Amino acid sequence: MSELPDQPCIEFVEQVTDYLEDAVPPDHRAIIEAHLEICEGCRTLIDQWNETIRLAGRLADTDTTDLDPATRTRLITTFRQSHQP
Amino acid sequence: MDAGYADEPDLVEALRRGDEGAFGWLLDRYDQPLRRLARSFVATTGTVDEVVQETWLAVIEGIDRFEQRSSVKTWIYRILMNKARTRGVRDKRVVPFSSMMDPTFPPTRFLPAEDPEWPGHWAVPPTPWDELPSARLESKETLARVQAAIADLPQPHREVITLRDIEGWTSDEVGALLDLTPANQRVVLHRARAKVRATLETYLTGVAI
Repeated sequence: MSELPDQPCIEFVEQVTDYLEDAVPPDHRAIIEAHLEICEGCRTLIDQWNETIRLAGRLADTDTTDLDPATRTRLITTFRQSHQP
Repeated sequence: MDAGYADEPDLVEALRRGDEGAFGWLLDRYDQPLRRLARSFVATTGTVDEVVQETWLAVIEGIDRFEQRSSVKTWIYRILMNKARTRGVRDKRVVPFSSMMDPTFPPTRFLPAEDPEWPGHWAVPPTPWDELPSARLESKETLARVQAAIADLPQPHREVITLRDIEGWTSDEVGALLDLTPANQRVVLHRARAKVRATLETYLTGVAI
C-alpha cells in the first residue's frame, strides 16, 4: 500500500502540462506518479496530451505556403541594392 | 545554426557584407514559420503576405544596427510580432477570452466531491485514441481540426502553442520572445492544449465537450 495521499483526477488534469514540463516539486511529483499507477484514465489523458502536441507539430510539415519565387527574387534584389554604395 | 554559418556572428557578418546566399538562406529557413506565426495575428492571407514581406524589408534595413543581444531568429520574430501587432489592431478577430478560463474538462466528467469512494475521480474518463485506425488519426481532416482549433484560440494562446508545439521552440526561446515567465507560459500553453485536445476528442470519439 502506498502511503502517499491520492491525487483526485480533477486536480491532476489541471497539472498535466506542469507535470510534462517537469515543473512540479519532487514531493508532488511522487504523489502524481502514485496516482498514475492506479489511474488508467489519467494515463490515457497523458497519452492524448502528447498526441495533441505531436499532431500540432505535424502542421509544420503540412501547413506550408512557399514564398512565391517572384517575391523571393524581389527581396533578394532589394537586399543587393541595399549593399550598393 | 547549420548550413555553413558556423555561428551567429558569421551569419550577421555575411548579411552585413551583402552575401546574397546568407540572405537567401534566411528566407528559406524562416519565411514559412514566420508566415504560420503571422497568421496568429492577422486574418487574411493578403495581410499575412504583407506582414512577412515588411518583416524581411526591416531585416534588410536593420541588419547593420542589429546589436546581437538576442539571436538572429528572435530578432526577426520580434520584428514580425511588432509589424503584425500593429496590423492586428486594424484586423482583429473577436475571440471570447472568458472561454479560456474554462477547466480542462467540464466538472461532469468527474465524480462529485461527496462521492464516498472516489471523489474527484473520473466519471467519464477519456477514451484511448490508440485503438483508432492510424489513418484516421493521421488524416488531413484531423490535422485540419487541429489547425482550426488553434486558429480559434485567443491571441496569446495562439502565439504560445504555435511556437512551442508547431515550431518546436523551447520554453526559454518562447519566454524570451514573448516576455512571459515560465509559469505564465505553462498556464497559457495548458489552456491552449486543453482546447485543442478537447476538439480532437469530440472529433475522434464523439464525446461532447
